[in-house]
Amino acid sequence: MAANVGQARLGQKRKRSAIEDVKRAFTGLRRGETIAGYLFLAPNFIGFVIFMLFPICFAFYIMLTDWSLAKEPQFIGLKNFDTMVNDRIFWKSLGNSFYYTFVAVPTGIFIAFWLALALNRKMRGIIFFRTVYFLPQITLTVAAATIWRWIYQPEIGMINHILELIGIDGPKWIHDTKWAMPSVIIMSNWQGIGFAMLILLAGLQGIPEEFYEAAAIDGASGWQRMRFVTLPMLSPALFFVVVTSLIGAFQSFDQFYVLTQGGPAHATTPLTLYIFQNAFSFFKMGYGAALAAVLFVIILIITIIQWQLAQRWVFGFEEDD
Amino acid sequence: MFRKLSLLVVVLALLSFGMAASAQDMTDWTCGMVDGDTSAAITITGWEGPGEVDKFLLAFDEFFAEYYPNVEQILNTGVNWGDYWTTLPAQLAGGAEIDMAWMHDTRNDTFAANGWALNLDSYLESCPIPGWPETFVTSQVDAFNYQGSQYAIPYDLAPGGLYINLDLFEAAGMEPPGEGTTFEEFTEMAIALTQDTDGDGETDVWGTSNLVSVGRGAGGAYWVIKSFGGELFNEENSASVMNTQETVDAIQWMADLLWDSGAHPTADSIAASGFTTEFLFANGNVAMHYALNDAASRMWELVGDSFNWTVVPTPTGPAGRYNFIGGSAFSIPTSAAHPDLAYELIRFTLANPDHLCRTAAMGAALTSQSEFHNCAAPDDAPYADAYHEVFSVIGARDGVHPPYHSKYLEWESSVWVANMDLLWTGEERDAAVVVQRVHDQTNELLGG
Amino acid sequence: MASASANTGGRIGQKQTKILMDILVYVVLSVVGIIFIMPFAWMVANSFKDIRGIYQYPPTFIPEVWRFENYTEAWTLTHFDLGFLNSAIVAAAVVLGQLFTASLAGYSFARLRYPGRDKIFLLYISLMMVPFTVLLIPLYVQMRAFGWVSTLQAVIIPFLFTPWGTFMMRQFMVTIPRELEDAARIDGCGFFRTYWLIILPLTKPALATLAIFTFVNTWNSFQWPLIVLGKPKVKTLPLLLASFQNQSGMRTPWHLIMAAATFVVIPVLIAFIVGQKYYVRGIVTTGIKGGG
Repeated sequence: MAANVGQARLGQKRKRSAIEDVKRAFTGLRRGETIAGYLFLAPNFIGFVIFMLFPICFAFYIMLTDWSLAKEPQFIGLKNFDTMVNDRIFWKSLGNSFYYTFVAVPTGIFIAFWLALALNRKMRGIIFFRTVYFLPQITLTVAAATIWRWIYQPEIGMINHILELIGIDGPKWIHDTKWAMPSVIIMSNWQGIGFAMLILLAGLQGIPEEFYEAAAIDGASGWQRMRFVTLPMLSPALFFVVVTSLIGAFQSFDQFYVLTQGGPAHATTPLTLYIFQNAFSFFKMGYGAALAAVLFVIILIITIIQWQLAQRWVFGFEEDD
Repeated sequence: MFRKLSLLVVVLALLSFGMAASAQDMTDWTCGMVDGDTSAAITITGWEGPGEVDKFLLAFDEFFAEYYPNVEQILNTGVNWGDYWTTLPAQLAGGAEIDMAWMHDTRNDTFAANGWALNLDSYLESCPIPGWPETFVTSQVDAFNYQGSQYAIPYDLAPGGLYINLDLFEAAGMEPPGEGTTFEEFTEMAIALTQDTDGDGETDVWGTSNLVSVGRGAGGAYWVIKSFGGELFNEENSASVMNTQETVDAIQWMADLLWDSGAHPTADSIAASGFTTEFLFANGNVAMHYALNDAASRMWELVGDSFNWTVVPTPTGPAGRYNFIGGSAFSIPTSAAHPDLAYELIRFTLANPDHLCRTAAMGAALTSQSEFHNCAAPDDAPYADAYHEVFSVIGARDGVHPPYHSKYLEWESSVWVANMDLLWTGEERDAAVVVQRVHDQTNELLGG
Repeated sequence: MASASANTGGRIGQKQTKILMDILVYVVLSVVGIIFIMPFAWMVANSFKDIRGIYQYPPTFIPEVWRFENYTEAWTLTHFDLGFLNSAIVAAAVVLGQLFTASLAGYSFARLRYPGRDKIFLLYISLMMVPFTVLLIPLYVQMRAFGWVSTLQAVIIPFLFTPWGTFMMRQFMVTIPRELEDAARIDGCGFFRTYWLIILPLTKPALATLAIFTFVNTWNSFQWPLIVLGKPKVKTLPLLLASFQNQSGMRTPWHLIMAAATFVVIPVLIAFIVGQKYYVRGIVTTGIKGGG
């Protein structure tokens, strides 16, 4: 009981001090730093608010309406969320989004990490290899998808042709509800790994050589250098890759749209594609916005969890001071 | 090649000048709804891209040069198919002023019901299109009619047919199918033609292809269902009438091509990229390839002289003969800034006989007016006679398409494709089970 | 101690290990590289075939008939010169704008202390989680209100401000040793001078990465430009490229598409190779020792 009172008081005190903090920040010794902080932030933040805040507020209103795009939106409260509960394609696509994200992201980052380490070596022709691994990223998605469909074609496609040579009867890939999602994951990792690889590479390049020299003087083994120099110094970049890859995976759309169009039998329809179909194919914009709100909340929760975890492993993560 | 192209452009330009001049002498192709001195910018959007859209652009240029020299055309053509149907609604919802838009039979009712497309009845009354509607192909006039009103003027029709590799038939000592061939006979032929030529245990030549495809809409099955005597919806499109033996038989016939006879390669959603089924036929690996009329001109280019081929009608069922037909049209969005001008332009483009033959020839298309059908396949094309018979006579006569009601697009994606794909991927082999599921979910969607 | 000789022995061993490792790395990189390069190489190979060559079965990699005209035909058919100009303007403006706003904001989040900083940061990051699909129409309405429909502003200005890039810049800036900054501050540098003279040069690899990604994304950006750029004279390359395809793939000139897709990629490739020059270790020359 006493402890509770104490906590409540503490809470009050903290609240008061937060206001005082702001006051002090603008008047005290750190006044210059506070003003600079906000000023540096301003161009980016103000611009983004102008071009995002209005659209986002609009989207939040729309999710409470029935809107066919053509006629005026009709306010229907939370009915869209009610509809969602019994919408089997919603549940299916939600499951697909999770399946895709939690398979594609870990495998992609794992491969990208080792590639980045390999490409960070001082070797001849390394720029050539970096370019090769980046090529899928800049290959036009439509062209890439056309080629991948050909690769995946069950009877005459490249993969099954190769598998046949070694005596394996290959699956039907994008023509099979069980293999379709792995097929999309393979293609999108092929295309997206260059991105994660490049950021991790930039992170590796940013680690001061002196740290390794110091570690070598201390007699650190290869594994110890990895554990005590590379990983901690790379952790901010790694954290960035993990967070943005997860957000990106939940929002990914193109590879599904061009490779499978969500089929067969919705086996590769992620929530984003279903939102898009509702909004622009079925003209149920209100429902689409409600689905988008669900997707937003999911991504937000996952990101906040990562933020909490980050304090344990990411370098340079501090509480507000 | 570049020189050839520029030569073509010059010839066409000269031709068009000549035609424009003669057109003026013959008839005055406007109703005078808009003053000739008007200076304005007219916005036109469509999915047909460079090369393909030229047939219409020539007519547009002639029209404006002749009657409205101060009008500027803002052309946003070549928005590819899938993107067109999401971009256009987004633009219209955002209040974009678009004066004329390409329309498709699958979308007409949705656009009309949503109030996006202008009702053209009063225009058709005050400024009639010569020959409307009697010289236009009836199925296409009807396709763009919603609740008794016209919302778009059709420009073409696209019936389905079978592309036949005559060399494979000759080698097998068989005769190609004809108008009276039944679905059972067709399957038997397909099985007989399927072979493993190099003996490695894998099929190299398929009897037929492209009749079934993962992700394909109901249009690809509707003509089979009708031929067997089945139907999709009731008259009001408010409930399913699919749970009949006839519909089940039709769907089972399609599934059996894949899983029972093995005469059809994997049902391929790739048709859209043109990389599989069609090139299998062009390479001589398919005996009877299903496709619409507009594939003919390219087959001619692709096959060259590597084998003899022709086109034949699709089979006849116990309930009669039907084939798929689709088509496109021009519409005027309700947000148009210059609807009168747009209507005059559409009227000139689709009814002036001076340039319709050119339009048909340049697009290898069957125009919405049957008297120009002969222009679609050049006389020197080896398939020309068969083409006219199969597509413009039989195809136009027996053409059917699903009733495209205003909930059709959602139904097709979330009910039809979602369930039918299981048959086409082989996870479900019994058509009765799938049809029953489609039936129930259809009633859920249309009733709810 | 015995460790002296062991150490020298270890050095030689290390050298051999390094060579062995290099060979191993080369082999692995090459094998994986073939998989990565295949589809791209296929696209380039197809850009030299005629249409029948593309449809050939079984397919061949090397064209039987070489058709170099694909490039000139694709170029003239859709006014690619204008498209290149538009795309270059848009990409240059967005890249420069993003580098500026993102590095400033990133510095603010990474280094400056003020109340609510991390909460603003999280809020800001959360903005990039809203699916773009639902923002298309309101953003279009906004562009109409500003009179920007069918102008290049519509694909430039809303994209100059980036939470993604800000997040990335922050993550790289937090790893810069504080000592460097403090030294500059003691020398009397203001915040902007510190940012400009100390922080920016040290974040070159990150700036190069952001520039490359912004360039690639802007260069390939499709959905929004498609909706907002209706007039032919403002169209960017991906829109022109997409216009080759039509309704059902019928008569799609794949050989021309492959040629166009190839020359559209070339500037991005050059940007990438140039951008790599900035992948040099930024801190080697600072003379700080043993910070770890």
